[in-house]
Amino acid sequence: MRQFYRGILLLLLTAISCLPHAFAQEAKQPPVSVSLNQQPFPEFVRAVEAATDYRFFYNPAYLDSLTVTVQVKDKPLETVLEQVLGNTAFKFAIDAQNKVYITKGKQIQVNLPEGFFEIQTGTTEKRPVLASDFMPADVGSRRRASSELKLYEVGVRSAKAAGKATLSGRLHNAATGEPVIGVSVYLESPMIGTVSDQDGFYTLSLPVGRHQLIIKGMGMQATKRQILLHSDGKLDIALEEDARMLKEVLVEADKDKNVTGLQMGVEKLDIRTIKQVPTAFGESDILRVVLTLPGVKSVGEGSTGMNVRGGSTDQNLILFNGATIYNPSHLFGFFSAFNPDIVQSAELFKSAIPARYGGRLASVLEIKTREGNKKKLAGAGGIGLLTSRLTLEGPIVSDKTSFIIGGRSTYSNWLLRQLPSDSFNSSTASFYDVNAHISHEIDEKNSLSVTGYTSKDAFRLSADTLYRFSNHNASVKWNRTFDEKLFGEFTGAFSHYGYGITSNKNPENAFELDFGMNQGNVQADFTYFPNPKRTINFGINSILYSVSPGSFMPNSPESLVAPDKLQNEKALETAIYLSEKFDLTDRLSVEAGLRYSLYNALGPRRVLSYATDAPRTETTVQDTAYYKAGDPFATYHGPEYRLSARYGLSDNSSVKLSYNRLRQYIHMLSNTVSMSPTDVWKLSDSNIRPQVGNQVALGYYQNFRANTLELSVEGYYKTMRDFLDYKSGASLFMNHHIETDVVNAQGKAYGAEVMLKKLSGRLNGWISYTYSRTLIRVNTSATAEVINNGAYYPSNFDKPHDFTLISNYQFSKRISTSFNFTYSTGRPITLPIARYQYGNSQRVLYSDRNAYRVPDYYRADIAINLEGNHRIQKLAHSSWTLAVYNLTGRKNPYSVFFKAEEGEIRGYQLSIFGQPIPTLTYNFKF
Amino acid sequence: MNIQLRTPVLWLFLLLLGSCIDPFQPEVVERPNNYLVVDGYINSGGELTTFRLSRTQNLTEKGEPAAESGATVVVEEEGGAGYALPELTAGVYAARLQSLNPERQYRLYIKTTNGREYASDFVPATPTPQIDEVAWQAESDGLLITVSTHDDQNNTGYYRWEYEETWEFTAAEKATVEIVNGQVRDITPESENIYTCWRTEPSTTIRLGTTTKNASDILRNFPVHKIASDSDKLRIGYSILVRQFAQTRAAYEYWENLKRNTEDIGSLFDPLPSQLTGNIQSLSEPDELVIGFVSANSATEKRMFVSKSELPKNWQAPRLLCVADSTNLPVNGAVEKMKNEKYYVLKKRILGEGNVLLGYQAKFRGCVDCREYGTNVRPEFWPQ
Repeated sequence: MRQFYRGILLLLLTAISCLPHAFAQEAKQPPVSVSLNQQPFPEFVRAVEAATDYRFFYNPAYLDSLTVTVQVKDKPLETVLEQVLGNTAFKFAIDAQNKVYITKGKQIQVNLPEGFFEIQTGTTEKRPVLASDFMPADVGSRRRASSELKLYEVGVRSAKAAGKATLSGRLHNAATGEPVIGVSVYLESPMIGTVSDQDGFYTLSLPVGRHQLIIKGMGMQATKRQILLHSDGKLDIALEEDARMLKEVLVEADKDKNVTGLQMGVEKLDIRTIKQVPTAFGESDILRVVLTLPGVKSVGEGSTGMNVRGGSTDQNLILFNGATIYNPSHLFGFFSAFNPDIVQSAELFKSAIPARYGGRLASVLEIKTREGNKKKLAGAGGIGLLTSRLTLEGPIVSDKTSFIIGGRSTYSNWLLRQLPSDSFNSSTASFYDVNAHISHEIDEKNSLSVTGYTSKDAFRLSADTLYRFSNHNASVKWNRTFDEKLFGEFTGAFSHYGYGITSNKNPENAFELDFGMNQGNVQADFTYFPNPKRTINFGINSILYSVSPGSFMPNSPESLVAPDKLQNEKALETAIYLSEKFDLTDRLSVEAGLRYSLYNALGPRRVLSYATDAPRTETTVQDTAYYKAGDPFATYHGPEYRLSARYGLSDNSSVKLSYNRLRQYIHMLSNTVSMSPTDVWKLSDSNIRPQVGNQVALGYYQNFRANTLELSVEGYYKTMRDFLDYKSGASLFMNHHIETDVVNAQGKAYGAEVMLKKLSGRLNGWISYTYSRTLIRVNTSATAEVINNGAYYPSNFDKPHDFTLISNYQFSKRISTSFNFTYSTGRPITLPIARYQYGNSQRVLYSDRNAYRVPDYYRADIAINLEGNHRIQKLAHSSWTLAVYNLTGRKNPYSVFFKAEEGEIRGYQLSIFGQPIPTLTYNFKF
Repeated sequence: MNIQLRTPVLWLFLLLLGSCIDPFQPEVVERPNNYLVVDGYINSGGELTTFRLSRTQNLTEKGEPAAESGATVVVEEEGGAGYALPELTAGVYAARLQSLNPERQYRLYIKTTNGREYASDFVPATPTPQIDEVAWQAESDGLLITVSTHDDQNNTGYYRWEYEETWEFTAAEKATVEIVNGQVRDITPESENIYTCWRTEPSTTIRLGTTTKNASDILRNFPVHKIASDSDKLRIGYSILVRQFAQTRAAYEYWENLKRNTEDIGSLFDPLPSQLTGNIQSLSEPDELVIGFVSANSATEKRMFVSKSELPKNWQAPRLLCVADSTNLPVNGAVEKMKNEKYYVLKKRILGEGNVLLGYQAKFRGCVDCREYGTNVRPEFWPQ
């Protein structure tokens, strides 16, 4: 502050020394022509001073870092400066002698108030404080017309101006008309605030009267509105986009949400964050970034299956605009299925899962696409080493309807064909995905959006067997504002996931194996704000599953393969929920919710029943029952509790507690270590019970240094039951009675996650450390086989220690670098520990399941991002990203296997990325 | 994966496929280990009961596993008598037990020289039904051997088979001369046969079958083995002795797991290795791991023979080729030279113009003498 006053003093002295002339002369203001691109402010000053007789006075310490891009011809300096400084904290004033004063925060008064000299003559320098006395608070004359200062009256003026009223409205981007999501709208005093929802809507309950509404959010220029609230009413707000492509905020949330929000265990990633993290193939990858968050792990590289707080890969609900995605990866998991240009944000719920979500035990990952530009046609794209992508967006009906469509494909097939080796030549690997999204604003109260997604993968490893899989998804959302207090969202979605394996190696064995599942769901979600202290969410949703677990068919006329088809499965899952959020005191707020889910497995079906006391095998089948189409033959239902509470310790710190119960009716069967495209999804039925999970989490949150540094410490304890593990060597392939090959396992997981985030400044990013354990036990009398003597053993993804550093340093607005470092304990494996002679042959003895670990994992990545200039009027904005993945070339073992060679058994480790991988990507936007 | 990084394109793509495979020797794998392995079964049908006791080896260790010698091995009847199995050769304990009572349970008791005691669970003595038939079918790609059996009492349910294959074969090349009493002479029908031999091999794979899916305890033409159509085994004549064992469910599952574990594991999409729990415990040290599963059952067996002439005409084993070295010997001194020769045998005369004897050709023994790979003693069961 001292420096500030010194600066003011300096300016003031200069100004005062010129005062006599100021009164004497009536200078005319010459027009200015200047053209600068990304130059520091002093450059701008030099250019103006060289061409005109304007002289600038400012404190270089403040203005050196400001870069200026300006292109004007014969404009008054006032206009030019408004353009240059308009979005900054700097104010300017031009006096009669064409002297220009640039100050921070408060504007210099170039005309002294009347009577000033009578009081102050000659003593100004001794009483510098007075200078600020005479600077009117927050009255910039040049901004008089701006809406920040206009007083908006909301509601109907009435005599009794007391109590509270509801203010609601929609935030939209002034340039594109898109709704602006996740932006805070709040009052500073009393501290009342909210965040705009996925469609840009916000609702606040405020005391009637005059307020200053502050609107702040990532990627948008902060603004404010003066309102005079009489009764319930509406206020839509247009926000200016921040012109810079990469802003220095990493994890989106309002700055103090960490501490003040009720939610815990939520991570929201903005696409800008996602784009900063270097990846193996140069393309921004949502799931890779999600994997860097505390509590999220994967079995290894090349698998996108994620394990959230000890949950298995099928326990994550991945929603893409409301439609469930079953396989979120391309090309063995080297790419995630989401086109980064389409995505707006990804939100991961890992502990307190809101009541409106259900159906999976571990987490919900909600991915939302952007809305298309409502004003003009625009596009974006990227060219990488293995893939390219292109996105187009624009209005269909200006300001009302817009579209966005994006596609992505790989040229890996072409690359493979260039390879000299035959085994590569005959291999193929390709994928594409297409997203389309249309949003339409019917009227003020209704909006509609339609999303379509389709993807296809095909790969053939050495000429013989072709694997392919595809996702097709569609969803329709209708948002309706019933009144200022009640909002509704109606969603219908369809998801298809399927895969096939075709082999034509020899005609006698040619076969085609197919798996497919369809899911249709409808849901209605409502939000009701009865009064400012309460928010009620309620709704209903229903999912119809239909699974074709497998068909195995001959694929050539000569084929000897016997056609085989597993019976189809059908089920209906319905859930209703109600949750209420209320503030008990200023410090204590609670959200309590109940979801009740009901599941019916539906016919037609042939159902085997087994003896209850004996292990389930084909021999203990007691009865076979047949059910007609639509007959429910197995019903499960149960409550799912959701509870979270927050207690504010101070303005900057709080403690939160949550408890959750979740039920899952669909299971993925896989006995490979990673999620592979050929895993089988199985619906609960009379022999397979639903999985149930409970989680308690406790966290401490503190923000430092004006909310720029966030510390969160969360601990959790979780139990899971009835998730499926497999009998040793279970056969999942075309198994007509899969229940005999699976066992019900119990699991427990616990851990602590510490994360320190820095949200702003040149250096930003996060550091996290996680200690976590995931243990499984199979100890049921119903199985002949007891794994590890019925004791708890570590799961495949139990990696106790995990340290992650994600950082980004901005050298200038155009050059930034990112650096990542990850360390984790190696994942558990079952090792062969000895060999012996048995049954006329050499055998291998394995250790207890998961008794050993592969070596520790660590990896460092670096990326340099070069932005094109930031001129707003430009044909295309472009950027280059140069990244090196696995900088140190560490050979992190992905798997370990043993082979008998030359009479001895040798161990090998397979590393997927065993060397530094440089990539170069060109991104553009127009 | 050592691929020359020749073209930039290849180099780029290696990023995708060029994962590396490096040797991996975790400490635990190199640690010496020494668990007791008990291999065998109690023959309740009055035939020879044989148990092989050995020790596990380190994975990297070469050679045969160490035999466990000097142990006391006893088959015990629950609440009854014990039958000692004397050690025949190092680590092999065997005796012919009288027929065991199918109503009683039996176990194996072992006391090793270091004083440790081990015992299996008590297991029932299950009688094995007779094999009805061992048959063969010529399939497009090979010879399928099948077994048919049934149990009228519907008691068995789980079957395991072992087999012993015997086939006739010849040496790659026929010798025309031999040395008898220090003299080189022509091979005659009276000479020792080194051209035609028989080779016998035990099964190394685990063969299991179950009738629990079937309405009754009947197995018809259940495949137990398949021989590729171009196999050497089918060159002249082939015989297989199939031995059948009735198994308890627990034993069946043990063998099934053991079978699955023998397969390779560990690449990207391979299944996890499974765990194997036998039924033998250490009485002295309950935590000590003992490998093996003891079951008590009788054994039944049946032999089948198939000759080349019965097989499809287009089944051809590749021509026998012996590319090994040969060496030429002078006429004088050839006999002397061959006296202590291990690698070469005399094969034929080398004749010059006018049938002048120039010397002898000696060939690598394996090319000429079939006894290198089998026996020249015609098996008793071999048809004339």
